[in-house]
Amino acid sequence: MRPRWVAVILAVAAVVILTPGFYFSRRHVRFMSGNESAGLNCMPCHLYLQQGGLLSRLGERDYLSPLHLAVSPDGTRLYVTAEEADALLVVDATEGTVLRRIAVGRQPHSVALHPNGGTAYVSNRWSNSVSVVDLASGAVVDALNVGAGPAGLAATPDGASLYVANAMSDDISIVDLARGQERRRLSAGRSPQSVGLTPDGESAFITSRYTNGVPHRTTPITEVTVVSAGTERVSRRALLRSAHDIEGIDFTPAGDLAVVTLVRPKNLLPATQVGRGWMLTFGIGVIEPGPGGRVVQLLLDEVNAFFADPFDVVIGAQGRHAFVTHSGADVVSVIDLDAVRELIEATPAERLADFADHLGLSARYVVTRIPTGANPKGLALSPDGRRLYVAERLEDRIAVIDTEALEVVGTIELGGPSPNRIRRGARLFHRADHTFQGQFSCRSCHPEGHHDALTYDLEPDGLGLNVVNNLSLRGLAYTAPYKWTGKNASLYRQCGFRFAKWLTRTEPYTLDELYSLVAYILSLSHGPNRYRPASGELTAAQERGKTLFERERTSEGRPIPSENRCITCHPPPRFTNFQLADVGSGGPLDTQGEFDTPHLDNLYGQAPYLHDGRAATLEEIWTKFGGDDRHGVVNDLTKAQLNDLIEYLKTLGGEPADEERSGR
Amino acid sequence: MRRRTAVAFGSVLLVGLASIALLSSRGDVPDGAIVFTQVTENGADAAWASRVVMLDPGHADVTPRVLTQGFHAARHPAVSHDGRRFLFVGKREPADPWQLWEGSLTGGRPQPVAANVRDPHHPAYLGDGRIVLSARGGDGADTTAALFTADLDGTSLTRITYHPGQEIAPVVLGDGRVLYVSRAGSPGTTADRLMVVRYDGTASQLFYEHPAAGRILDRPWETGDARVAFVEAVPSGAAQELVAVSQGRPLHSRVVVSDALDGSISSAYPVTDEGFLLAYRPADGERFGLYEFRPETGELAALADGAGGDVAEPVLVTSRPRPKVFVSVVDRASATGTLFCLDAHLTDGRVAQGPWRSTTLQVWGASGLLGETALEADGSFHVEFAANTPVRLATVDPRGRVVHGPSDWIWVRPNEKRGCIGCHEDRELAPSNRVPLATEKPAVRIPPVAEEGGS
Repeated sequence: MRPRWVAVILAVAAVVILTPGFYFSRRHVRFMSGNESAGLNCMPCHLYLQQGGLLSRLGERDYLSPLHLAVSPDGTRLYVTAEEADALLVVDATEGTVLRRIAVGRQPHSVALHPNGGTAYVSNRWSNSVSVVDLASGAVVDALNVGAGPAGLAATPDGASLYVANAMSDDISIVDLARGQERRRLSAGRSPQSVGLTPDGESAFITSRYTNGVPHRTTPITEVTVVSAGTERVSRRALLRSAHDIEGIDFTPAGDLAVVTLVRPKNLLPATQVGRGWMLTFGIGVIEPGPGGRVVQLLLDEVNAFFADPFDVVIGAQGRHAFVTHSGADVVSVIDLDAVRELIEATPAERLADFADHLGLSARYVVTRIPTGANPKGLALSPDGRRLYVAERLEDRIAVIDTEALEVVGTIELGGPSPNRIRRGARLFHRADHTFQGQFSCRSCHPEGHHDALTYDLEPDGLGLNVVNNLSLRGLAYTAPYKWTGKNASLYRQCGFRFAKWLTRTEPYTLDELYSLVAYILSLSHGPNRYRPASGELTAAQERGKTLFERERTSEGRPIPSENRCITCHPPPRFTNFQLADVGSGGPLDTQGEFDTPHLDNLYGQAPYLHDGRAATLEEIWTKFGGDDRHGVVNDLTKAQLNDLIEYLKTLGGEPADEERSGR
Repeated sequence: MRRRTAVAFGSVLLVGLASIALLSSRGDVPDGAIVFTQVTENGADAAWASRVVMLDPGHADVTPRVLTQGFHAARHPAVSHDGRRFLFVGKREPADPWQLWEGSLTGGRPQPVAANVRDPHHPAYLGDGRIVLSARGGDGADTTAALFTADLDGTSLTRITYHPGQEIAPVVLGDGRVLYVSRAGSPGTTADRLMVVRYDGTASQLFYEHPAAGRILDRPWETGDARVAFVEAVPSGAAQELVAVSQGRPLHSRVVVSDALDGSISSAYPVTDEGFLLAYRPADGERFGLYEFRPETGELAALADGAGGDVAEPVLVTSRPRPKVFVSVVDRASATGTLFCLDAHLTDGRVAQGPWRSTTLQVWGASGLLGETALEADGSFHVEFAANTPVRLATVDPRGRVVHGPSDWIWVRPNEKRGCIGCHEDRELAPSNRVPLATEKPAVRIPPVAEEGGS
């Protein structure tokens, strides 16, 4: 046979064989992406975006991600926490160069300086510790034991104490710095984030991210906790109604006002529109620090433009301006505090609450918006107040702002690598320009890739129906399908066309953007599970809980049907069987009774629970809503046994906790 | 032989590639060229009544190039975002109907677009490659003008606004919405208002209005510094002013930027953060010429006089960011849409109290009362009514006395679920965060569902 004929036969065979394959592949891509016009491209999902795959590992890079920073008393040095590098960077503020990289604990968050300028304290969120850094030698000389997930911190002016906001244990540590030991632990709001000290050092104000416990589908109320330095007790819990995600805080030099950043969610409204602040608005809280002082919320948004995700605030040396980073809008807002005072003083008390939803007022007190690089986070002022340093987290860079000219006058490169696909995805995740008028970013509802502890009424399934609990995005890899209804076979589908139609209400992501965004989301992890011992050995209570989780018979010895055993629907390693199930959790506003079986990875940090967030705690899943034994047979359990079961559930997923406090 | 064939093939390929490169280049469209309309005073008796021309300011001594050669009348030019094409309305003969056309700024004969549109005005390019325009909304003697969208080949003509007045002069904002002038259709008002709507006709809302009755003379345009500029006469018939409003709070930021001018302005187009192109007639002049105006300094520079005809509708030829696009929620299979209100008692930022509080919502159509429903205890309501049909709302107290309303005409598009905060509420308010009682129940259907057909 002549070669030409061989080629023809092979070509025909290839067409015959490959056409069904091609057809199948196209259908598969369309199903997974939810995009009818999506081209056939197997590479992203099956090759270079595959989590843990060879190519995705080859593409990994070590970014720095500067989060917070402090300036030395003489103004010559910046101390920058590099969140993804587990390091404290020492930067020459004059030359704009990195002088030293000091290894600290995992996921460093904030840095505070001892008043003598010789010691830095760095909170390590994933190590549950505070690293004590001798700045002369650059050595970590101690690691202080604090609560879980330490975030913001502040040293008292006398250098005697350190206040630490423990974001994961919802409390505040007061550390005796002379002894290097925690002296007191006080309860805070949910997920405390930052600590601000009054200029006289007599009080510490601690912000919180999540709403306090409120009845289901009622207005969120989030706390700023005030601690008296004298008594070291909570002296006030300032409650900010209809606000959450309160992150940064600072005081005027005179101490007459505290300013916090905040988000005002509209999660109780049907999410039928985005414009005019129907999804979220962003602003500040102005708090009079004295007993019974007023709390006024003001928006930083405008009628047709939104400035997402305010993160940190610093008040200028003269107390004239407040500077706020908007990490989702890549700007710093400059606020005229005299205009704010005037506005508050000129308004009758009963009308002050109306300001909280007014989009026109910002024109009266926002002086300007200063553009920055990607994802501006922490702020710090030079001692003379003339320079404002901004941590541009996803640029691995510090921006320098002239506080008189109100413009960026320079940048300091910290030396991070160029953006890879995951980094590009991180930028997309954190930027709000993919929503109509910049209304919100992915981060707005998923801070740090986690959740916002709220429930939402989304449009497609009808107004007032099918309220859904917003879940964490951490640990989502290999847990498809997604959504409580299990409708989305992949994250490409979840974040694609319908997401733009019903949520962001502007342009859908391009396919390339979608690949990057999904790559980033799949990279998110919970970090160490603080209930999971490093040794792998469970505590006695956890062991008892594990037995209950896996049991096949009730306490009375009756067999439990397979479908009513915990382990059946929540088998390891993901603790989900990837199936829909009707466990009797449907409510009167649900149009279906079957819901996607969620994974249980780091379950303890994800309250509220159930598909609509009705259960405020893990206990409530069964004590309030498990009466018919369909969501696992539990009604034969004693309270002690239920406690054991929950102790075990808390150990599921995530990395084991560190054996010893690291950061030293 | 083979070598000769290869050379010939290569030559053809090179020529082809060169042709493509030439065709895809910007050709002879100079950066910063200005497209505008010239209008003769002789009207129908002249060889042409109006025409669209292009001027290169770098060669202002050169006669503007006529882009609508062979047309008796042409007007309302709009330039594409890549600065290469333009839309206009025109007619070749005086007796022809006005028709929509698209031409290339690099030359060639304009091609007709959407031939079945009646009385088209002010076409503009949408971000998704389609167009939006104003045209006659109804049949026969109906002279209302509405906004429509269409594909560039003239198909998929879709009406998107249903106000019974004149909806004219649309432009496309960077965020993708359509900004337009709504004229003399609102009960009790003769003022022009600027409205904004998503280009599927959903979420129409007020953008700007002057408290006194004003007249907006031409298209509004978005400036490079997040403002919207337009020419307005307040009250209607007074001297025209060039006005700018901030998009941050358009209802409360009106600034007159033409104080330095004492002549007449018919059109304005922003060219930089500070400057405008004006169709302007000096106080002692006879014709409208083309000028560049800098409000900061009051500097006014003539670019073209009106010798070739009065200048109107200048547009800068430059490439601009494509406006955003979005995925429409309109479902043509649906005959209705819904409207929910968070608190009908909320007005001007305050919640009405006492015995004069309203208890019932009435929905009125063009021919009378369509239906009513009781307000919930929290003042909310949730109604479903025919899509693409203008309605007005009123709230009444238990004795049937009107508390608020009737409102301006509003409409919903098929499957639209529209929300509002209150009645006559402060238009700069974001909603408060609480579950409206009315949305926990199915929407109250207001009959008759199909009193008027959409288009």
